[in-house]
Amino acid sequence: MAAPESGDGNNGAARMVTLISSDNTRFEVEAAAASLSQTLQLTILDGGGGGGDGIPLPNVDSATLSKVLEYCIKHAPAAANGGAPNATAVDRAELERFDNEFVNIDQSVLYSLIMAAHNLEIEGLQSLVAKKVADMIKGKSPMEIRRTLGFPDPTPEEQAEMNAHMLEYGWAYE
Amino acid sequence: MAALMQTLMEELVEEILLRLPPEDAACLLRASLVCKPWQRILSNRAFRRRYREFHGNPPMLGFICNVECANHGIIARFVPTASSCLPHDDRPGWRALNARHGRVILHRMPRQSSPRDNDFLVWDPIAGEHWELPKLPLHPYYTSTAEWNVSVLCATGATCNHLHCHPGGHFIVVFVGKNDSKMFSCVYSSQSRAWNRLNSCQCCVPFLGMAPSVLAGNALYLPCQGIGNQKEILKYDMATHSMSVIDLPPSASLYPRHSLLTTMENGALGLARLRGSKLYLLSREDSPARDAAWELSRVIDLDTLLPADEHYFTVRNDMVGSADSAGIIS
Repeated sequence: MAAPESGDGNNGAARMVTLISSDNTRFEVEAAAASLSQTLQLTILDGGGGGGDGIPLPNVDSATLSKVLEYCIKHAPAAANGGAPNATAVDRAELERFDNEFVNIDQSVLYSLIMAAHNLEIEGLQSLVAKKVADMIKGKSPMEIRRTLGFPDPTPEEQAEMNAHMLEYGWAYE
Repeated sequence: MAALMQTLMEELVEEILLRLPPEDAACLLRASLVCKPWQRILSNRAFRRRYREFHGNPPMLGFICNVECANHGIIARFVPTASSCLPHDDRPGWRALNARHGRVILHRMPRQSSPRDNDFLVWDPIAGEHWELPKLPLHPYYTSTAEWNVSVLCATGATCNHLHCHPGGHFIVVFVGKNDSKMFSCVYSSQSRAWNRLNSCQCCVPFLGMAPSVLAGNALYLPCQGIGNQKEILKYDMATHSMSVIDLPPSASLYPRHSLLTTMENGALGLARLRGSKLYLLSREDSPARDAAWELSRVIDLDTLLPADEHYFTVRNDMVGSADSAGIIS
């Protein structure tokens, strides 16, 4: 699988690092983008990941890592500006548009992403996916939430508790 | 697809539940019924603390108003907002005076008599709890003509962000009275369950009304609002329990009610003045000088925020309240 674009091709000075997914695919990416991961940042600061070495990520498969890096590359310039106080409204709107489309994906991918974001300590990505799942469940009844997230059918005991709850707190279901 | 989300570690489920919208109080309740682990997370005290911190100021769950009623004379009423899970709640015979940090102070005066005949009640309408205060301590200045004002606030003081101090936290009530040429004050503490810190000084304001006080920094500010063109504000310093006077901006008046004391976003004392359709927000830095300058910090054009009705501002332009931090519109 091809490595993602490393951003500004004219900037020969940008330091590159190599990340290796659990299925042994190598991804070459700018150090600034990979450093959005708190976990990777330390290794990169120590000079790791360059040359032929590469940083192995045994918990992240190539499909997920590709998606994670897509996020990191997009967000790296704003992160480099320290939260970008000087970012224009257009830049911010563009990032927002990107984020919205980025999480418009299958639930299994959302699951892999939030796990990867957690392992790699990419706070922005973890927050983005958590918000997406929260948006998916808000306004839904307990049963609808279970269906939406693919939980198995409730046990009779759980079902009885839900029914009793609905009777007691009818307002919460209107 | 396998039930992947159900296998998500608790830490990440918490990140998701943390982002449920606070505006819809029922949302958290419904989520708690999804499964036992979710219920455990949502009922955890640490999660509730994080949730409040994450969303900043709590949503408005309701407001307090005093309603005249043929049977009870007056009723202090809690009116919940549409999205809140709380029922209407009435305190017949009681009048709400001041609200802050989630608590309301009410009073009941059986007949026209001295302030000492007043019964005071502190009410937490969200938790549905209330505490009756003991009678005010005996004081020679109390007479039937005494003017007074009373405020409730969290006991933790300026270091508290008021996200966790109630229910269950301690509160204090500050009573300030004026009789002819004397001012007097005392403070009730829910911790000691007693009135203490009795204090008095020579009169420093010409009139003490019952308009709600404002908390800014570590001081309560009492607008001397009621009759005439009052230009003074009484400052009650919570650290020293001393009273002093500060002046309004030269052209401002708290009477009639076109100006309102408020707390600015940075915690400073503020004054909102309505002129035409424009709301002017002035701010005053905390200075011991009585005549420290007020600075214009913001102008809000209500024309662009309210329905375009040219009669609106001429018919009804009294300002009745402002939102206090983590509190209740008073």
